Amino acid sequence: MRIVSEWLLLSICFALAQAGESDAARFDFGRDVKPLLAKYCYGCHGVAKQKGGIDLEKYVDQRAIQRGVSQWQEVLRAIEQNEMPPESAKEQPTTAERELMQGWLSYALNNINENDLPKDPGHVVLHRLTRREYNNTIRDLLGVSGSPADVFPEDAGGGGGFENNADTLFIPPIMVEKMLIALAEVFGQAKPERLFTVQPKDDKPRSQQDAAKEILTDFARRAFRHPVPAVEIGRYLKVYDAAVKKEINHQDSLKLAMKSVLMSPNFIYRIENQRPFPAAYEITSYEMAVRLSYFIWASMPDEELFTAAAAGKLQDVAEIERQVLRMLKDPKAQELGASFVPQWLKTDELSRGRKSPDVGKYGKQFTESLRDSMCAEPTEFFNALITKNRSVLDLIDSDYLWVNEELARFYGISGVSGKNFREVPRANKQRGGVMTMASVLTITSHPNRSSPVLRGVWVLEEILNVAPPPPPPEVPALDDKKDGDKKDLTLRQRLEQHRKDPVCASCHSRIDPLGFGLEEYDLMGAWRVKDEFGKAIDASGKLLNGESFQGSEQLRKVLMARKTEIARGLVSRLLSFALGRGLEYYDRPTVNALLKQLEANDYRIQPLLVGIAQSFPFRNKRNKPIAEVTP
Amino acid sequence: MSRSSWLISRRTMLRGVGVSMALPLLNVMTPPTLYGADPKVVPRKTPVRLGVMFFPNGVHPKRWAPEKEGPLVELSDQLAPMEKIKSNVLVLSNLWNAKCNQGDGHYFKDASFLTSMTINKTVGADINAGGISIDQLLAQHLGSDTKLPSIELGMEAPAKGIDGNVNITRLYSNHIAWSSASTPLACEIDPVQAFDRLFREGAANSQRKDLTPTSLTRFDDKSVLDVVTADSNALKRTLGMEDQRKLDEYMTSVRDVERRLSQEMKRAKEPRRIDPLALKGLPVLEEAIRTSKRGDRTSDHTPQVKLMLDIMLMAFWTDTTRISTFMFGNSVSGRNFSFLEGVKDSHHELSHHENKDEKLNQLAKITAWHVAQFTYLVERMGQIKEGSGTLLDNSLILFGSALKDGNAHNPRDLPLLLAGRGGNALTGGRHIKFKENTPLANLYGEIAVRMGLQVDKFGDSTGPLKELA
Repeated sequence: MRIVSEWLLLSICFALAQAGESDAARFDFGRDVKPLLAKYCYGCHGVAKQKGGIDLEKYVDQRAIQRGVSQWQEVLRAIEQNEMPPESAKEQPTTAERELMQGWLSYALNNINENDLPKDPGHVVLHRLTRREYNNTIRDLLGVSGSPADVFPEDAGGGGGFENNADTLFIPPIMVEKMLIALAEVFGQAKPERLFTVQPKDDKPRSQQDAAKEILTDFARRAFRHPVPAVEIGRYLKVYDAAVKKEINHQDSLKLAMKSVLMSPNFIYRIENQRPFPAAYEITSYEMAVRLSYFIWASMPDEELFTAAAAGKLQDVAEIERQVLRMLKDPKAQELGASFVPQWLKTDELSRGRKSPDVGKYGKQFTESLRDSMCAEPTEFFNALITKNRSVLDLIDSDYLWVNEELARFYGISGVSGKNFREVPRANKQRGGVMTMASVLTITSHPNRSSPVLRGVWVLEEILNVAPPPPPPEVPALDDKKDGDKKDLTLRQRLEQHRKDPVCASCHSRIDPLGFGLEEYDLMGAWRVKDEFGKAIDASGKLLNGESFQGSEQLRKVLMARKTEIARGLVSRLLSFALGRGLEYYDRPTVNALLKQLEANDYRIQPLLVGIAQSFPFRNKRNKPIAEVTP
Repeated sequence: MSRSSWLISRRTMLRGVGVSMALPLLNVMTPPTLYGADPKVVPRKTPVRLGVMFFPNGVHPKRWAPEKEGPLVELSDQLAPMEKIKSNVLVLSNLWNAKCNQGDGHYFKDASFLTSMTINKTVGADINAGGISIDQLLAQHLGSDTKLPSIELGMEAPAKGIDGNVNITRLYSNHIAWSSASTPLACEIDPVQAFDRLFREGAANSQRKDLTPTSLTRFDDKSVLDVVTADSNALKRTLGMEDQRKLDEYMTSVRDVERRLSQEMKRAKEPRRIDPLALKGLPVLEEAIRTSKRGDRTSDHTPQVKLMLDIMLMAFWTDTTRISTFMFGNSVSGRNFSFLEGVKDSHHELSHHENKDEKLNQLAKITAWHVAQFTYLVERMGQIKEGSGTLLDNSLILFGSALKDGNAHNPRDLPLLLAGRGGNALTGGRHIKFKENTPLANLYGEIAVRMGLQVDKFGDSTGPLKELA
């Protein structure tokens, strides 16, 4: 499914905002847009002819188009990607006409009355366990430590930007090979008393085969995360029988049968049963247990969740709240921060070695242990936010920090010792929130210098939640040829030159000031007063609306005033992470409702997590895109 | 899927599987009916190997190929490192990948480098490279004679998430090998893993000092996979179309491994002859891998690259696989090259050279380093005897980037080198200038023929390259 995602919409909206969204609002469908559609589209997709079964002419006004949103998303996409009109068409719209159609359509589709949006929970395609989920599930299932999935190919991620996005989780042959090998090791490590012990139903004596059956039935229930019918158990029992026949001993035969359970798609994928109709429906209690446990623990449900599922309780919102709050208290909930945060903030680029300061030059200071401490900081901070049920606004700025000895020293804070992280009140306002964390500041730098552009883009994307549009094609970065030889210019001056070009200015006037606000930190995030070339730092910036600020402390204040936008970004990301899919236009009412709830709860994070688990798309699904509302 | 049918009719049919609700469920393994006639296998006496060495970000566009066609006399600074092997190398000019000339700077070009099709621009759903890649088409038709049909090697951890700048999932940046339009193949980036996969009987037995490239096979894996198939078939009946397709992906991979296991079992009975020198080389390589500095933080990664190329070489030499791709870096790679003298910045950063000599000179040094690694592999392959010639005579090593100029993101006149004689069928030492804008896919057709596969049409190919002969 390739409906324009909310991210794309936002970026269009953002691009539009440059021309002034009000411009698009000023256009009138009948006067400005319809004539273009008539000229370029209706010929093939109108009353007379409906190529591909598509009639655009029947949408007579703005409201009709808004109610036919799924159709018009596709129209927008086709216009944007120059797919329509086709190359073979007699006439192509001019660039201005194309932009007008795109601009107005994105405006119209982005401003649909919530009541006109379809009530659609979306469809999450069969969800393969991520490497993290696989590791944790094996740990909880078999009681072995170790990370068998670490040798699998890495999960790439997409949609909301998270690796748990079901669409982008593949199983190439190499992964099948590696799962077979990994499981051989896992069963070698697992303790027999953990593998082969079930609570017997009665004291009757039983044959080894009966015992095997009981053990496999319980094992498959936990592995598949729901009760498994006897027919299916029969398949695994056959593996056991065949092995016994080959004179493999009872325990090894059982292990082989268990291995086949763990190679089953029922284990590797999170299966949600389908209903044979396209309307939205509520998922079962067992399915809900699975969604909850993978959201909060990145692992399988525990027995308490299973019990609640068996009793059919997990369709009840009060029970969902009770379970979520209980789960958040479990140490396994650390996985929420460990999984979500580095992907959201992109600091995994640092931990995975994709970004690094120039080691030849900075290796002495940038040691592996400092890097690890840097990478741990945002996760520790976020998990404490959850444990203490704090306000998510602390992510923008906080009057406390989470540091260990090494990081404290790096930040110039004394009195912290040991490897463990702890909370310290901040002594000055140099730092606070995620933007001033060393990991963030390092991944937004080049190997040899800090980058106001990369930092500006990062603040826009990850904090303000808008995607700057791409640089126009064929425009080289920072080309100062036109301005003659100006080698002596500072980076700030060069960027100012860059912004004189109106093509570049449209984006860079948004990006650069935010980045300059973070110039007080060097390429590893250490506080500085002089830049790499010995010049005094100028961390002033002026936003498009005229608001100006001086340095990171004031930048954070400026951003705090935009808390609704920022909170909306976080809510969207968390929802996308929880659902395992990118957000779509029909998710907007859910995001709005969660945002309202967040504001009502003083921005505290626990009610937000509960709200996500109780939300419509989390508890429902559909099989196919629902039919479009006829205008 | 929600894709409306008019869109399907116009473009998605070309893109193949992965998009359609209306179309019947296609087996993702079904190879290339999309490319005109079915490819025909033309058996060869001596197998030909194909190695593809991909590098990101392009080259210094003005100092690449010699100006004149014909014998390679003087080489540019970027090509200079291949001086000693130039008699075995063809410098190919004016080939381009037309279908990727849209979208964005890198992803459209790199992901379709070996497919010669257009990728689907997406943030996650409907990943699609437009078609199978040439290496995989060959692997699917010719790969059953070796332990692995192909191996994909790389140097960089995959990029994740979305590139918000261009609104595309970064997944596209990590793959040039596609076993179907919608199935990217991950690169093995850990030399230990790559070695074990090729030459060992499974990591579980890594204590064993048995280094013969024999089977992964164990009785249990076969029986386990049988149940998986039964399970999948039962499960499939309960799923909707989209989910069925996801499950098919798994079943296809399972079948692939099953087939490999049974072939291995068969081969175990009639062991192949492997050059004893190669068998002697394996433990040496293994030792080098295990004692090499691990981790990703050493700034000079030349030794790691050499290890990966050694692995490719041993895979070819022992006939463990005949097809391999190698990615020096992923799309938009920001690999720090300041370990090279005179280079101060990272690869992608310098590829945006702004036409400044200062940056272009640094970029040229990075390109020269890549050419030097290519030279290392080609030279070694030329030293290995095989039959009456060398391993290189029975190989084709394609070295190239999907961009000419990283500043302009231009996929015309791609920088491409082709080494080896492809079974005594090519004569190197020349610069061939094709007609401007000749499809790169034509080269893939030529490569396929020399490997033993007749492909009438691939991607946007238009016909043979007569100048190559």
